[in-house]
Amino acid sequence: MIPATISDAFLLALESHMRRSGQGAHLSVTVVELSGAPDPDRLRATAGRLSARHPLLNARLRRGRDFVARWHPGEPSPVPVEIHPEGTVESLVTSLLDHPRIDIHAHGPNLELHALPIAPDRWALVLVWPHALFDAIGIDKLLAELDDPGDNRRDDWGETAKTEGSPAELWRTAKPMVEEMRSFPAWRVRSPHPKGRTAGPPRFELIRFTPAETAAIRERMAGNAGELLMLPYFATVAARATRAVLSGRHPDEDVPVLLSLPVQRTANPSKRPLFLNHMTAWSLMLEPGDFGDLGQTTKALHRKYAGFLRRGLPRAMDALMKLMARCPSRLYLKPAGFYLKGEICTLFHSHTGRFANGTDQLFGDRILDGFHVPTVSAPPGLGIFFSERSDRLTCTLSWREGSLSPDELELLAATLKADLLGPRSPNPPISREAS
Amino acid sequence: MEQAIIDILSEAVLDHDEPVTADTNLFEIGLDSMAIMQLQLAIEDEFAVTIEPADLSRENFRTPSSIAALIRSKKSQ
Repeated sequence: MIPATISDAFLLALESHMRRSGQGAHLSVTVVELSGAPDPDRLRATAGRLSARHPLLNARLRRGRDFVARWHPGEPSPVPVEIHPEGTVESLVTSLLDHPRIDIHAHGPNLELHALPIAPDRWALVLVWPHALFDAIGIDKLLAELDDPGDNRRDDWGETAKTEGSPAELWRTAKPMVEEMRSFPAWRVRSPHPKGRTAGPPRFELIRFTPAETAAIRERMAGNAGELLMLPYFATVAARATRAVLSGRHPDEDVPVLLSLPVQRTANPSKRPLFLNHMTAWSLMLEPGDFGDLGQTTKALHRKYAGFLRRGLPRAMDALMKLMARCPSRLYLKPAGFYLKGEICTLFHSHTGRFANGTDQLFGDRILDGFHVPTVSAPPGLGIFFSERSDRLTCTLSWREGSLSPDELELLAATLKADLLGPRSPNPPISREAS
Repeated sequence: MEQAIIDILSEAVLDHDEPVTADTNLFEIGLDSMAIMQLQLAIEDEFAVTIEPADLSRENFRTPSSIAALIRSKKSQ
């Protein structure tokens, strides 16, 4: 048995909530666009090697009688490989998410590889994976070893949260985060998913910026917030777009935005394990008064980050998660739901930086582009995710059917583009691909 | 001042095995967005200066030496 991390325990609780409310498994998809054509034999050889090397690829995640979540490795079985002769990436990803086969509650493959030719000299490698087993850094590391011919089994997991102590000590450490949560009811936090509505299947849309547009976005970021404040800048852009939707729905309310932002605990990517989740979640509230122009809102969010750090809340959050790790999934989200009146946050957001950082080719084919499609739970029903590859920024809008109307989706995308590119978007038009 | 900055980087911000010198390119050893924010707070606490977002440029944060130059210019204002 392999202990789950405290982040896995949170994701297990989130997935438990999703299953109870008919939203299915919490899966993510990674798409790598490569030069050349798929080689089925090589893909299958890779899949077999991966499965033999990593017992966690056939493991299931469950809580024991002590309610502590653990991974239970199963018998090795090959990672499924499917070659799709035709179609689009968007239709394939939608189909894979609509008919999920990966189930972390049962033994069996926790990874699928799909290959799809998308042009005469270009193909897409599509990976389906459960969010409880990998984070974005983990998937980068998995991509990096697809070409590795070594057959040695690897132990590449383990807890990275350093918070230790008795329950009483943990509670004392966690107290500032609990106090922070107690401040949330002062704001009427909403999310895009309407209360009482059954969440539909996951949906996504890609906004893929050209290198020229990406350069313009960087320049605009430098002018508005400084060239190095990428983290608060993109979170601000995501928050403002979501707020535009919520303000449209509730024109008589001053809408706040509660961001749940994942932050990797280990600074050096080379020291992060391949498997399991190693992020702490920072809950940062943008109050209505924090929303000015883009630069002002970024500065406000920057101050919130600074305040979170200065008050020792990352350590407090880890201590709280450590305490909660023993909590049955059904009860795990109750405190957050109590303080937030049934919500978890307003939206999920991340910017994972350079996609597949450090990997330039797979199977001898050059990586041309790539992006992730994480699915989200409802609530909040919306996630806005960014990554970059080959000087191209990609924004993945991920939502649950029923959380956003088509008009609201238009407004969301238009607000994002207006903030990123400025009110007058340069030509040519941005490529927009909907699922 | 350079040594104090190197100590902050080594102890609280970066998880880097090789020794950091005054001329180490910090972006090449993992100074990312989150690390910059941590570094900014540590600098403000240690040197009693205020680093504005506009100060957070690649030029100012490339090496411990360039960060020291930024702090000196802030202190002289």
